[in-house]
Amino acid sequence: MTVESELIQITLRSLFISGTAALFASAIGLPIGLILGLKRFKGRQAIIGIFNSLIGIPTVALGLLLYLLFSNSGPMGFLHVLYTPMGIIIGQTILILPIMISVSTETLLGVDESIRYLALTMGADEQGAAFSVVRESSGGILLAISASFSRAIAELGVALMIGGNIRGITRVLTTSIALETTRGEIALGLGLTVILITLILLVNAGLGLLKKRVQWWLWE
Amino acid sequence: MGIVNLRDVTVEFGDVKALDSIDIEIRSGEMFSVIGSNGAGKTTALRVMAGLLSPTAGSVYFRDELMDDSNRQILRRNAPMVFQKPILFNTTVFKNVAYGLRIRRVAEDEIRKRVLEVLKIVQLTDLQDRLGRNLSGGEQRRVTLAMAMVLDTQLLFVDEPTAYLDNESAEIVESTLQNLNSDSGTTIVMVTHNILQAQVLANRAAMMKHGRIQKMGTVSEIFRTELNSLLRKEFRTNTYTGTAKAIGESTPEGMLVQIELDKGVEIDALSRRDGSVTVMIPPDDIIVSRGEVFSSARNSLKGKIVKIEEQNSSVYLSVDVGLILTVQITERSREHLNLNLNDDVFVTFKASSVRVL
Repeated sequence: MTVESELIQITLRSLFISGTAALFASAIGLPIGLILGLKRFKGRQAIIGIFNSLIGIPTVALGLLLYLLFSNSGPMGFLHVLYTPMGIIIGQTILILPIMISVSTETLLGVDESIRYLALTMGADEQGAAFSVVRESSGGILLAISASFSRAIAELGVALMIGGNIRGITRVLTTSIALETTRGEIALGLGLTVILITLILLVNAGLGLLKKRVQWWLWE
Repeated sequence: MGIVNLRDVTVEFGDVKALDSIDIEIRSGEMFSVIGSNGAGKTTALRVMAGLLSPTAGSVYFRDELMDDSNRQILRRNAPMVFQKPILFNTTVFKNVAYGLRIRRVAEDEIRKRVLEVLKIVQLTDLQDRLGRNLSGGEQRRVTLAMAMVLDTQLLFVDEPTAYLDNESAEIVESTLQNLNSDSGTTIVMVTHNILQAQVLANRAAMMKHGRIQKMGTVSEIFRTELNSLLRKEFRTNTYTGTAKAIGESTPEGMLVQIELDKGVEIDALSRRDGSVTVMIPPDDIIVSRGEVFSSARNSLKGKIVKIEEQNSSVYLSVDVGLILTVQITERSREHLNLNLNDDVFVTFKASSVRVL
């Protein structure tokens, strides 16, 4: 396998793993964010505080915990996800879930409460009013997705400890950068870094362009 | 029984009683005004009537039907509210106005027709494709009014319809409300702290203070005997009656008129009509100075300070210029000018600051 084709494979694998993790985190985190942002109940502030704190969890700490959980002798060893792409996806999903929840919650809380009242007084039911609030915060929700994806694709701890950096299977951009740097292949490490940063910038630019389109679509 | 009835309604926010056992009956086809100073409970009462707030105690009836959490949407569907702060969705003027109709699943052709009709009334047809939030405050207010009007309901709630608007926008909003009430028979409940507006537009009014109804009845009953004292005590508004005669060319903003008030005091103003008029001069639009100010402002009167009152962080001076004129200044301005009782001062204000009705 040539260096070029290996680079392409690693890049595509990184995109697939972190993209899937962002998708899973969106599917789980956005509904939780909606509940925390739109519903008022006892203990809401405490839950928001917990998720806000979890944003800063060190990736190696999470990686170690998941390693213990997924290892053959661990309580979830029967899943056999250690050293597999699915293992990294699960780890990254858990890692970025607090970002998804916190950013979407804060975005919804930031929408003027009058928007809800405006929708209600125009005749919307509670669900319709909630949808209006979500529509107003679509930009922030896209930001949550973009921030989550960026955090997933740029993290090393989970990918290394759960994935094991196995060539052709679980090797992703960040683990490759770490490996090449330790091997003294600084130029290759730098090249991979440029690819990683370009990827993050491209995905974020794409989501930025999508923002207006989504807002237009939501109003159709 | 009226179209909307509040019976013994109390609203509490924590320890604060925003409404204290109030009873209001809104009669079909009338323009009803809720007046009172800041914090009186006017907006809270309006939100309860509009089905946007559940009362802590008491009952709300809409067309004789008791409203509760299970059916409050019926009230909201039939009685939109225009908020004091013009809030719009983050989309075009057209889509904002069409919002309520789309919720009601009206056909697109019908939506287009009705939205364009209403935009014409509020004079915003040319701005239909602009982002609503990019418009001026006055234009945004007219969009919010159009959003409610397009629903063609028999009942409409309006919170401070002309707050923060320039004279031109205020006149468009006021005449739209007046036409809606007189031509279409829409029942309008309007909250205002502008007592003059209530006097001119409404048939009946309720005056609120500290969450309670102080007085309720026809506008003439409420204002007949107490207008001047109410204005000064509760609202600190300079309101006078007089006779206007044109002294300048007519412009889009109105014609320049000279108005002779009681006791021979004459002021200049911009007005759309002459003859017998009522004028209002906002206390915070008046400049007070030790000496005469030579400026573009057309009105400069000499007077004597006869009363000084402090409220919150403002100082209210009663200046005798032939009539008593209330002037609102800051404490800092008072200290800076060293203003005391019986001091001679000049008061200055622009012709465009005088509201003529």
